[in-house]
Amino acid sequence: MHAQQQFDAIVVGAGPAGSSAALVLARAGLRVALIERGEYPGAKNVSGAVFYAPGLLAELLPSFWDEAPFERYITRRVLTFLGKESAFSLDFHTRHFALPPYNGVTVLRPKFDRWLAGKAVEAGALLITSTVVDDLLYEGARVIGVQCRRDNGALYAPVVIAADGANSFLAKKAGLQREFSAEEMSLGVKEVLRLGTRTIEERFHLTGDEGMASEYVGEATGPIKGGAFLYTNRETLSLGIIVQIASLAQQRIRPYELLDRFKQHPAVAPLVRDGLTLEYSAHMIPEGGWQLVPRLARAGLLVAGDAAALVFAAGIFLEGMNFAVASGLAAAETALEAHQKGDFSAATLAGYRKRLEQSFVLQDLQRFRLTPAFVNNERLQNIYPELLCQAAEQVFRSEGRPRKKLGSTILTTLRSKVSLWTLLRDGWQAGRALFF
Amino acid sequence: MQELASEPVATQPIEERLELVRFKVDKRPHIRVHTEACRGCDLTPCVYVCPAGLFEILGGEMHFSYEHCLECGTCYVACERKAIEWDYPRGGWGVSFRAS
Amino acid sequence: MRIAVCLKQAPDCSSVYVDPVSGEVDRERFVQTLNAADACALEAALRLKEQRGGSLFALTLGPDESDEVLRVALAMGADTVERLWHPSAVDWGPLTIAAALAARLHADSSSLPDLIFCGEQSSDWASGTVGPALAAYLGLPQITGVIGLEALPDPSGQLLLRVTRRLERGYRERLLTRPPLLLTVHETLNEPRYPSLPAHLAALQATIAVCDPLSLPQFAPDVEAEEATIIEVRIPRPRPHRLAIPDSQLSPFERIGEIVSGGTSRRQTRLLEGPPEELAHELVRFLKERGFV
Repeated sequence: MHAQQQFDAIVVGAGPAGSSAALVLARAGLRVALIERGEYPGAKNVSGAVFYAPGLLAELLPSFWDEAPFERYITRRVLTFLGKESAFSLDFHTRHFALPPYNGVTVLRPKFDRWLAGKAVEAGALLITSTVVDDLLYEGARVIGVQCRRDNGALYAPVVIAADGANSFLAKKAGLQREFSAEEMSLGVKEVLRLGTRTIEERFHLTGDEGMASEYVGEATGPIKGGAFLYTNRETLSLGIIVQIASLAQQRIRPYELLDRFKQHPAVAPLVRDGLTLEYSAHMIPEGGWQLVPRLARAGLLVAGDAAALVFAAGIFLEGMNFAVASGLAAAETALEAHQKGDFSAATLAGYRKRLEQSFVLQDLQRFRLTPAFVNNERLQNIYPELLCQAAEQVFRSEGRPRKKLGSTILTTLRSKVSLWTLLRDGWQAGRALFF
Repeated sequence: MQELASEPVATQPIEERLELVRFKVDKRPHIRVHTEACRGCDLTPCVYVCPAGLFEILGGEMHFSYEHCLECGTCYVACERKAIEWDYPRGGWGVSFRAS
Repeated sequence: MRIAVCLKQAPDCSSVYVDPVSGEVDRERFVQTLNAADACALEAALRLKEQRGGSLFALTLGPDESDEVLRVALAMGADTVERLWHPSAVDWGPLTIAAALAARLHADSSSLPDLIFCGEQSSDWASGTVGPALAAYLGLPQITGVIGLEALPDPSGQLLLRVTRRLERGYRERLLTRPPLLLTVHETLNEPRYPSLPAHLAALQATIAVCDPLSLPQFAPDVEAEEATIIEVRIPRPRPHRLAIPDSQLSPFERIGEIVSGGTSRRQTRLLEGPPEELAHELVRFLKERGFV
């Protein structure tokens, strides 16, 4: 074996999980290979993209707030229930999210991921771009390296961190993850529209670097299970839909047609008017939640980020990059501990799961484990948003006739489509999924 | 109340959208479809789920192209017949996002 | 044999997006890579080196980011690489760049390389000037637009090259030549190799030598007398083509004949009938007669 092909740790995938892990490992003085299949980090990466809790990285990178390529920090959160021709929104705006550590920031992944990987490189990691990892290398049951798709493509290290994204081929090949079903995976398709800084600030009531994260359910995705999002970048909008693959296949509607339908909705069209499409992108999202989280480690191998399905898609929460970063950091700490012990067995690496259990990563996923199923509830997707809009319409309607009290107006509307019993049951489930 | 058009209307053909995306197309395809397995498949989920519209049934036969693949993996997850052999393209090839 | 290859980092064609309304190029979306024709030049040089032995020196003129193209060269098999750069070079045109490259090649204590390869043109400005100008500065013969290259066995032991050039209107020119010489290569010449992992790793970690062209004794840029000034950039308007509508009275075969002749001349079409061997002979005779083979 060539000494050049021996590392202390190999990280597969230079996304947020992989680059964070490589950064920590390299800082600790390990010889780290960070392998990326794209020509540059971020070339293959797509998310909304709001990076919540970016403060996770600020602890590692003191100059983070000044240097990181953020678009806008999120001070405005909107949740909209879309009916066919109406929209009911919860709109929250706070200046408290406008100071570091910001609660959430929008990023453009090609820029952000490249920057973050650059930090790992500055710390001493070797970034190997344009290289696909095809498989893991084993010695008995222990992972001892990776096989890259190049001549003489073997690389060795006592510990490999697989942060290879949503398809997680490595986790599957290592027997940690099973094959996905079309019910637990979602497809996100997205467009970036250029509107100009001024238009964005005016149209979305933002000042300076403030930004908005807006999510939609109901008519946003027609009869298909899922939702839509609209995020503000500095001078562009990121807009897209996220839909369950099984539902998409069943309803036989193409995702880009659905995206167009969303853009044409009367409540959305004025927001995107005159936007010039800069790019169209798509990505699979492991939205299965707690049930989809695989075994996270075996001897010599740790799985992080999307590859470990660490995505928090729980109704009003749509988070992934922070889960990726936190898991990458935890994987790196575990790998460091293994190096200190000189023991890369499954037992030592099991410390990774413990770390995640102590952090928000697995706690949130477990606590909200009922939410993905609840969110995909037929009525929540297709009936309640419209009903909510109708109820609001009844409440606000002024016809020159005596009004009923609001409770009776709302109840009458709701019960026109759903029985009181179903309503109560769904209310209970919503409570279980999100509130208590 | 006037109903909205219930049929989705694509304002922009998918080909035009894909024009905005950078592809470095490898000569070797990274997707293989065992089209014999597609015969008799009524659902054809691949046709509907692919965000690049790469799958098409023409004359009862499955046709597909890999060149403008966005590399999401949705097709093989959706295919119930496991007819799609899907891998990443060679390192450095395939799609590169720049503005997302 | 010593071979030098001149490389340039340029935006990959597939990453160039022109705004349909303003006609402006979106530079933010550029993906900078090794210029496609230069990659073929490099590959051709490597193949010759592997066949005949010798050394390969790759050089570029560009800012820090241009190190990437030299890393590609190293990964593919270049022995030594060097980057020329001076901040004032952002304003240099192709002639000045060629003069700097020439000065660098002259600066080696030994004689000039036996062969110099360049890409025919870059994907950005596509002036196709640097190669020919470099040949002129070095006093070397040159062959441009190479689409075929073959080293022939020569009893004298010297290198004999058979070169196919691409000319206008689909014409080809075949030449026999010997070094020293400069070749500019078209991007269809070959398929550049995909480096092995060890080579890729070594290249990623290599230190790239940088040279200030202004420090080279033989180089005196005369930027005042700059060769060209850009007055305007325009998107070419599609040239209208006269479409010959074939006479509907004709048979499908004859109509095809009219269409392929573009209606520009009364070209004759001929339908051959007979056994396959005879037809093949007739076809070969026809192609020879017309100079196609």
